[in-house]
Amino acid sequence: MDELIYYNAMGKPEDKKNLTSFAYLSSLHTTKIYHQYKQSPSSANGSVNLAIGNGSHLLVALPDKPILHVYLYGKESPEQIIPLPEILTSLTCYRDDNFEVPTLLLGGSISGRLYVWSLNSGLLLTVKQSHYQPLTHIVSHSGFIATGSKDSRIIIHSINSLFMNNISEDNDNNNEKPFAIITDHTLPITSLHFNKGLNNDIKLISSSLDSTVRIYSLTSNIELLTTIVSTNPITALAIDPAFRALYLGMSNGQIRSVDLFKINPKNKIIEAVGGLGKIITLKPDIDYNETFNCHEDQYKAIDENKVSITQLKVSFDGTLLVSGDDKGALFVIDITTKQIRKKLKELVGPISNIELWSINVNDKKFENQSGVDKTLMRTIPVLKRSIVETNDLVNEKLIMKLKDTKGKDELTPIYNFSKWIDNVQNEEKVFANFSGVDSETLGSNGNGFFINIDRTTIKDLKQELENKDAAFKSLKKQYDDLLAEYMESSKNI
Amino acid sequence: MIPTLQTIIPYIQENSLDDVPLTFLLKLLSNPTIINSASAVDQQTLLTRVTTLLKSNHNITRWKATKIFTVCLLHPILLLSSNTANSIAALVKILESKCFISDFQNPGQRELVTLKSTAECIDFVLDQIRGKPTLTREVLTPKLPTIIGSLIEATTFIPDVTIPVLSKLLITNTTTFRPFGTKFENVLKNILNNGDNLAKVDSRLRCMLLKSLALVSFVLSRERQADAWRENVNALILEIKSVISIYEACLELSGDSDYNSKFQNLPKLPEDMSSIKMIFGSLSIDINESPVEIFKVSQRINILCELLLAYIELNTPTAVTIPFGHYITIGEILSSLNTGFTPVKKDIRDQATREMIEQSVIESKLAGINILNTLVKKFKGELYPHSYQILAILDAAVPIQTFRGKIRVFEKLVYENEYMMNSILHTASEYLKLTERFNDMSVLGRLVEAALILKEPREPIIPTENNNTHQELTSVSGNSKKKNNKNKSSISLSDILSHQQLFMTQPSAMTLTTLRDFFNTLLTHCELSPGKLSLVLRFVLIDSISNIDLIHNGTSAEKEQIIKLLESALLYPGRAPNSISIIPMIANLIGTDNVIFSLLTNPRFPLLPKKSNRSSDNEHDNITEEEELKEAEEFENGGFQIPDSENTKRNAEENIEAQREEKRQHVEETGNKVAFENNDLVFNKTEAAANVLKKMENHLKQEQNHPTISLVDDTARETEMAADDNVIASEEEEDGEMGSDFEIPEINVDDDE
Repeated sequence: MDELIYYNAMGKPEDKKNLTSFAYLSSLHTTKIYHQYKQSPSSANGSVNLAIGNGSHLLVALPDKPILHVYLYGKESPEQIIPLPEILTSLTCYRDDNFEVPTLLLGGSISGRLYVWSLNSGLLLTVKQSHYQPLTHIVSHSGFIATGSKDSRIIIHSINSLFMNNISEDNDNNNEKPFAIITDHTLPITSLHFNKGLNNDIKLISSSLDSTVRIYSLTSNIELLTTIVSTNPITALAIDPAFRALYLGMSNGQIRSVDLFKINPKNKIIEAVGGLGKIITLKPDIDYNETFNCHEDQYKAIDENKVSITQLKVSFDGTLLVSGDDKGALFVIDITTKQIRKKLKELVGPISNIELWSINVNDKKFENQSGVDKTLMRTIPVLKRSIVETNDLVNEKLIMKLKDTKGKDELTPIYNFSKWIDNVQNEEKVFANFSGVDSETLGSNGNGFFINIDRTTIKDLKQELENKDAAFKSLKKQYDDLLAEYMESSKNI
Repeated sequence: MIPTLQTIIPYIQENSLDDVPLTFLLKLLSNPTIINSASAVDQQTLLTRVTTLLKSNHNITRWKATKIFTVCLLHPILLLSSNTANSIAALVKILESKCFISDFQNPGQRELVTLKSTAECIDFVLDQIRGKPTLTREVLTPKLPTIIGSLIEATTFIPDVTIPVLSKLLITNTTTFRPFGTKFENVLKNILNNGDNLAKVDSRLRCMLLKSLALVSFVLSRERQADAWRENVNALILEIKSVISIYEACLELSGDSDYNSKFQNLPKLPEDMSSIKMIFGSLSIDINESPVEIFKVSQRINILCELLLAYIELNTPTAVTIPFGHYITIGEILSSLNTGFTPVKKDIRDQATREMIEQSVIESKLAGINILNTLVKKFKGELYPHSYQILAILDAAVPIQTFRGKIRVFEKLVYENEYMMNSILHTASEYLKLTERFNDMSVLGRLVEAALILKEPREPIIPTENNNTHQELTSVSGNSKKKNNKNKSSISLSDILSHQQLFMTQPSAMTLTTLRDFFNTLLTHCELSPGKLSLVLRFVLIDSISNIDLIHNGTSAEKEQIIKLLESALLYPGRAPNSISIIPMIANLIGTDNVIFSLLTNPRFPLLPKKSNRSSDNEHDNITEEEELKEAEEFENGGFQIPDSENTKRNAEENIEAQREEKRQHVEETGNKVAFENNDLVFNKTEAAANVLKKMENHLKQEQNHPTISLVDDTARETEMAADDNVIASEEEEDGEMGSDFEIPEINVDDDE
C-alpha cells in the first residue's frame, strides 16, 4: 500500500507555450516519482485524474486557453488536445458509488457556466448558467454537485434537478431550479468539500476569502450549521477524513487547524464545536498551538513577500497534511508534530491541484510497461461543444473498453481446498457402488448381458471356500503326518 | 511426523491406488513440505506415475489421475518439471478419445465425470502456465492446437466445463485459436439450435453460450476487432428490429406515435432482408395453423436480446463503440409494448389466438425489461439522462383501470402478472438507486401502489354468485350425475366460505425479495409522502415481526435483507414530522445485536488524537473557568455585557456611529456658537483680537477634553472590547443575520439566468 500524490501548478502567464509547467505523480511516503507530465498548467482545481494506473487518463484544462489536455498514464506529453467551448477554470468528475471510472465530467467556466459531459460518449449533457464570475471549485457527492465561484455564491445542484425531467422533447434545459443557492459569503469562494456519509447526513463545507468557513447541512433544506470566523482570508481548506477537524490554509501562509469536537472545560464532556447556527470566532493563535507555519517560515528569510496556501489535502490516515503554496512549494506536514516531513519537487507558479490516491503498489497497473499496448484506450471521446438533443441521445455511442463484471468472484476451485475435496468426493460417488450387488457386463458394444451377483453371496462362498480350504489343509496335514509315520515305520520294518 | 513422498509413491499405481482413499492421498500431496522435501528422483517418479495412470484404460483410474495431477500442479517445482508436457499430452488424449463414449444419446455417467475432470484439469494447467514465458513457449504453445481441438470436440458432452476454458483461450491465445473459430461457432450454434434449445439449458450455461458466441464472432478477426464487434451488434439490432416488426401485423401499433418514432430511430432495415447477416435462420409463423406459433416471435426476441446483452457483458480486448442509444431504444420499445394501449388487431377473431398473442407480448416485454435492467447494472451513470423516461415507461407498464372516474392500479392484473410486476419493480429499483431524494410521484406513484398491492396476502378466489347460479342452471338441465358433482363442489367450497383465513396465501419468496429491495430503495433514495411512507414502514415492521425467528437465528440472505430494511428505516426516517417514532419497535426487533442501532442510540465523536500539553491546558482551563465565573457574577449583577459577542460588537458600532453623529452636531453647534458670539466683533484692536483668539483656543481645548466627544479614544476602546476575544464564544444568530462585518450583498439570482 502506498499513497500517490498528483500535483500541478498554475504556471507562469508569460510562458505561453507552458514549457515550464509540469505535473507530477509521486509517492507520498517514499521518494519514488511515478510520472511527470509536461505542459500541464491549470487553474486552481482545474485538473482531474479519471483513475490511476495504466490506461487511465489525466485531464488538464489550461488556465488561459479553451483547451483540454488529455494525458495517458505514464506518458509525458498530452495524448489528446480537445477544444472546449470556453476556458474552464475548474474541473472534476462525478463518481458513482463503487464504480471505478467516473461517468460524468463537470467543468466550470470562466463565464460562470457549469458544463456536464458524459465521459464515455463525449455528449454535452447540460449547461447551467448560474454564476456570473469564474467558477473556483466544483465538488460532487451522493447526488449533489456544488459549485463555488468568484461571485461569492455557492450553488448546489442535485442529479435529479440536472437530469431528471429536463432533457425532454422541447430541450428546455434551464427550467429546473438548483437545489439551493447560498449567498452567505461576501468574497470569492476558495474551496468546497462534502463530508463522507449517507445522503441524508450530508454536509457542505465552504471557505472563502471573507475569512469565514461555513458548514451547511443539506439534510432537508439548506441550513447553516456553523460559521467559523478566521483571522485571515482562507485560501484553501481540507477536512479530516473522519470529520474530526478542519484545516484552513490562509493567505498569510499559515495553516490553522480547527477541532470540530472539544472537551467542555466545565463538565469535561466531549462536545461538537458549532452547530445550530453558531458562530465560532478564532482568536489569534499566538502560541502556535493550532497553527502550522511551515510555509511562512520557509519564505521568511528569502522573500519579504507574503506567501499564501493554495491547496491543502489530508492523507489517507489523517496524520499528514499535504499543502501547496502560491510560490510553487509543496510540503508534507506531520499533523501532530507540525513539522515538515517531506518537501516535494517544486513547481512554477501557484500550486493548483493536489490529489491523493491510495493504491496497492503490487498492482499490475502500476508496473512500467515495455512496448506499446495496442489494446489500451489511448484517448477519450471528444467533448462536444453543443448541448445534447433528443436525437443525439437516441444515437448515443459509448466508447469504452468493456469489462466482464460478473464471474470476478469465482476463485479457481482448488484454492478453496476443502470445497474442492468435497467436489472430488461428490464425483467419486459415480464410481462407487453403494448397493450390495456387483455387476459385470459380458460381451461388448452393448450387445452383452449383465451378471448381477449379490455381494453377500460372494462373501458366503468365499467363506465356505476358506473353510473348505482350511479343512483340506488340516486333512492333508494329518494325511502327510500319517504317511510320514507309515513310511518311517515301513523303513524300520 | 508426516509421511515422505517415498512412502506415498508406492500407492500411486494402478493396482494399489484402491488401497488408499483418494481424498487422503490428495490431502497428503497438497502438502508443500512433502513435495519440497522429497528428492528430485522421487518428484520425477511421482509425475511419471501420474502420467502412466492418465494413460490407463479404466475410467476410474484416469479420473483419479486427473485429480492427483491437479494437486501436483499446486507445487511450482512439479509444474516446472519436464514431465508436465507428457501429462498434458495424456490429458488431451483422454479428451480426444471422449472416454470412448459410443452412445451419444445417453452417455455414461462415469465417462462424463472423467471428461469433466480432465477438462477442469486442463483448465488448471493452462491457468498455472499462463504468463510464465518459458513454460508457455516450451510446453503450452506446441500443445495448444491439440488442446483447443479436443476441447471443442468435447463441448457437445460437457459444455459447462469446456466453454469457459475455451473463452479464456479465445482472449489469451487468439492467434492459435483462429483456425478453430468457425468450428467452435458451429458447435455453439448447434447447441443453441436456433434458440429452440434455449429453454433446455440453465441460465448459467445459457449466459456462457451466448457470451462465447458473441466473443468468437469478433475476436478472431485479424485487425480491427472493434469494428467487427460493432458490425455484429448492428446486424443484431437490425435482426431484432425485423423480428419486432412482426408484432405490427397483429397489434394496433400504427396508431402509437411513441412506438413509431422510437422504431424509426433504430437503423433502417435494408430493402432486401436477405442482405443482412442473420445469426439465426428466418422465422416462419402461421398463427392460423396453431396459435402457439406466435411464441416463436417472443422466443426469438428473447434469445436475440440475450445475445445483444452478451455483447456488452464480455471483456473486449480493445475499446469498442457501443450503440448505447439503440440498446436503450430496443429496451424501451419492448418494455412499452402493452396490449392495454395497443390492443390485438380486430381482424384476428379467434379468442385463443388473441390470448396467445397477448401472452407472447408479455414475454417480449420481459425481454425488454431485462435489457433495461442489465444496462443500469452495467452502465449506471451513463443512464442519468435516460432514467426519467425509463422510469416513466416502467410506471406505465403497471396495469390500471378506471374506477368511478379515477385511474387506479388494477389489482387483479397485478396479481395475474406477478412475475412481470416483480421484474418491473426490480428494474425500477435499480434506476431509482441512481438518484437521490427522488420525489416525482408522476413516474413513481403506480409503481409504489403496485408494490403495496403485491405485499398483501392473496385472498382465495371464490366463485361469485353469478357463476354459481350459472352452474345450477346447467346442472338442473343435466342428469342426476351432474347433481352429485355439484354437491361435491359445494362441500369443498364450504371451507373457503366459513374459514376464509385458512386459504389466504402469502406473497411468494421471490416477490418478497423484490419488494424488500424495492422498499429499501424507496426508503433510501426517494422522498415519499407521509402516507405512503407509513404504509411502507408498516410493511417493514410486519414483515420483520413475521420473520422474527429468522432474524434471531437464521443466516440466510433473507435475514440480511430484512435487517437491512430495518436499518434503512432507522437511518432514513423521512422528512415529514411523524408523531410516532418507529425506533422503539426496531429496538425491540434487532436492538440487541445490531451495530447500526447501537451506534445510533449511543453516538460517539471521532476525536483527533493530540499531543496534549497537560499542565498548560489545565492552567488555561482554570483561567477561563475563573474568568467565566467572574463574568457570570457580573452578569448576575446586571452590569456586564458580554464583550465579544456579535451583538455587542454591533451595538458598540452603533454607539460609535451615534456618538460620531452627536459629536458632529456638537462641533457644528460650537462652531456656530463661536461664530455667532464673535460675529459682531470688530477687530479694531490687536489686543482684542488676540483675546478673542485666546478665548476660542481655550474653548477648543475644553471641547477636546470633553469626555463624551473624544471620538478617537472611544472608538479605539470599543473596538478593543469587540476584538478582545479571550474565550471562543459563540452565540446564536438573530434572524439569520450576521454581525455587521458579514454583510451580504443582495444578489438577485433570477437576473442571472
